[in-house]
Amino acid sequence: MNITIPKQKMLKYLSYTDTIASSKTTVPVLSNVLIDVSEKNIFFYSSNLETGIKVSDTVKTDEDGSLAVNGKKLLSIVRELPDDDIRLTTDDKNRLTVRSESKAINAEFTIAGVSKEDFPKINTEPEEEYIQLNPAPFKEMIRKVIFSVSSDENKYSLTGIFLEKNNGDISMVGTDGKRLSLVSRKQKDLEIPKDTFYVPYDGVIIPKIVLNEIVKFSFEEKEKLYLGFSKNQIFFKYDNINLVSNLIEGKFPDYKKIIPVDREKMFTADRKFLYNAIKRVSILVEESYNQIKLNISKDKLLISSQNPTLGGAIEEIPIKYGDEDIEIALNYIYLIDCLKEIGSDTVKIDFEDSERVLTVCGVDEEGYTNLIMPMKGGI
Amino acid sequence: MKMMEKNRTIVHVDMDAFYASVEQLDNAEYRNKPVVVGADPKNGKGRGVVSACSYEARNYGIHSAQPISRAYGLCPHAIFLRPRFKRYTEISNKVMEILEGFSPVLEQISIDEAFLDCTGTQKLFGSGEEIAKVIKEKIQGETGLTASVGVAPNKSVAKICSEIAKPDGLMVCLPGMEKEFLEDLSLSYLWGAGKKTIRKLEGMGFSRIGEVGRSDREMLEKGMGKMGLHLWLLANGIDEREVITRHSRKSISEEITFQKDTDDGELIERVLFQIADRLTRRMRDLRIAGRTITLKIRLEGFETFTRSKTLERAVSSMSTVRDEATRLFRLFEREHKKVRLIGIGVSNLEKGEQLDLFSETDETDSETEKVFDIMKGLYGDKITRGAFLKRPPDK
Repeated sequence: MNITIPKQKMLKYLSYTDTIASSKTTVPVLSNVLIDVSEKNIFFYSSNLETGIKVSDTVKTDEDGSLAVNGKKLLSIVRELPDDDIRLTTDDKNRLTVRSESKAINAEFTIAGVSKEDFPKINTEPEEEYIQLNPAPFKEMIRKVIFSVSSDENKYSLTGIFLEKNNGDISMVGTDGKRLSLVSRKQKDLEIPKDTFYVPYDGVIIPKIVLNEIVKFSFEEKEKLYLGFSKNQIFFKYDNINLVSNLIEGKFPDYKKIIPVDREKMFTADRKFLYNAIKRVSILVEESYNQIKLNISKDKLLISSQNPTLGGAIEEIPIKYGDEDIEIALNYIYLIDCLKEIGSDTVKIDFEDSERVLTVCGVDEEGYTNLIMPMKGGI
Repeated sequence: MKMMEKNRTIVHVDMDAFYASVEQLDNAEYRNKPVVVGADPKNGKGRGVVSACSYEARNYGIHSAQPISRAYGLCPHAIFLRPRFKRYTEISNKVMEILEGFSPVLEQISIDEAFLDCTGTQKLFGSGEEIAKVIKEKIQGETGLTASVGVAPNKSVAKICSEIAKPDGLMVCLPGMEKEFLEDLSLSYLWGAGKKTIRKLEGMGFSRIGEVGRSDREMLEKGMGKMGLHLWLLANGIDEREVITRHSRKSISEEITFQKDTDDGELIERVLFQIADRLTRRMRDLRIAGRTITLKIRLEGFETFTRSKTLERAVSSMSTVRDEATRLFRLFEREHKKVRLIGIGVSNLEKGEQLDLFSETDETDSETEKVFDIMKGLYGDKITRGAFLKRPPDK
């Protein structure tokens, strides 16, 4: 291989591959990025065995070739080089040499790599047709549920977002077993061409890491996102990137069953007001379990925190409520996370008693619901 | 071990005939009348026990833990009521809030009882006796109920003081007077000594606390083990146990020594079941939950082992604690040695237990437990949980 590529491009592509590459030392080859050049096309690949990414571009090529080298090291080297083109060459001993074409510095880096054959093969094309959609509302849906997704590997089926077709609408659900976020949007909201949308099985669980990549990516105006499926994989195509991931196997809990209906007790509050008050009061929570208390009474909400070694805080805000007094203890982060994402000036919180699930949603926002389980007991 | 401060001021506050007093407070027509809170007497045919009764009812010989049918027989015209735990808890919380105002070192030991360590608060509130007076006034002023208060240099004596002072009383035992104070009291005042222990002491020829205090310590230890030493110390007015606040509590545990060393696995698992039940009931009373479950096991020859398992979240449910403890017991290799003692501890305590959205088993569990706690309140320890006495084998 002997090519030149602009530094900024290479930096960008390596940072994409870096987030997917595995940091697990058990399979060292996965910490590599595979650079594959043939006929003016360059591809960067990385994988963690479950998720893979391919970034494509065209470059000035003097000689084709390929090599997989440590992605983090290569990224660090490129970051330090001047803003000119970078020349990459390989030799017959599987070594990659990196030089800047800039006159400003005279430095050479050599990294030992492994051949393409030793790098896992990444298939980036789905068996089924791609579904075209508008990335902006799709990203918004992800953002509205991803914070609830579990990071606990013991609850494997909860470590991804559940995507399903729900009465023709598209739904995403994230939960860690203590809280749950559910968002539903119409196909036309996502500008999906008629009769093209489908989700295999009765819904799929998509690993968080893939969707995080989509959320992070800044799409150009009018740029489309393509979504596709194979038997147990999901594919995304956008810009010059292909993402592929194994779907999470396992059964997603029957979340519809736990969504309360016809609740009578509820209050409404100004979203920003409530959010800011909780932020203030939470400064003094005991950090090991982040508990705040909500004392709900007629048109008045008392939010309080207590920290046995530090002190405590209490704040009163006006709400609309007319039922009996009730005290509910919960993890303030659960509330903060969803209040941030609710697209409505007024929020509605309904509940039954201090040990049952609370529902949080926007008064003027349809199709977005958050469930939060309270804490039992408290300081 | 922390050095004991000399002359602590321990205050024990005990609400008078709590459930019955709350009923009399909420229903003016019950005042000055015998009120019995407990199971339905069903015209004398009812089963179950008295949970609490007013002092008027006590005059008829009614007392708590008595069969409700017997209470009905003693005073059929008494007002018999079912307990309203939600209301009692509400008032209890109010009382504890008041007490917290006097010292941060507060240990609630049941719904209507608490210890306060007021050592060092004298500058703020005056002597132990003065603090006790103000506490009584404040409780009566803010809840309308009376409490009895005992003040002493240690927990055991303070508790005995409030017991003697009942109802609506105040008793102080000054430092140095403990032994004298205990001298003529009957054995039933010894805190922690149950019926069996008292019978054993009586069998050894004791009838007053002072006699136990003057007895030979080694003889008691030989006869009754650790309990013997503990009682000997208490009888001498010595009790170094600290007032444990909810925040300072690091763990909670229960254990049982077998009367005879055993290698009957089924029996041991049955006992683990009992211990888990008792322990988790205490945890629920104290509103704490813990993440680490520890099995303590002592084999013949006094070798003691512990095995722990840390869970992902804090629990207080009987079935989880029992399951984990039993699992640890089954994994423990005791090389055919007999078991002398078995116990369960829960540590890594959290004061708030995060509830789960999906775990139905836990949900039903806590519902069952609520009902169960109420039933035990009504019918006493005769109530046993319906469960596989023999835990099914691990999957």
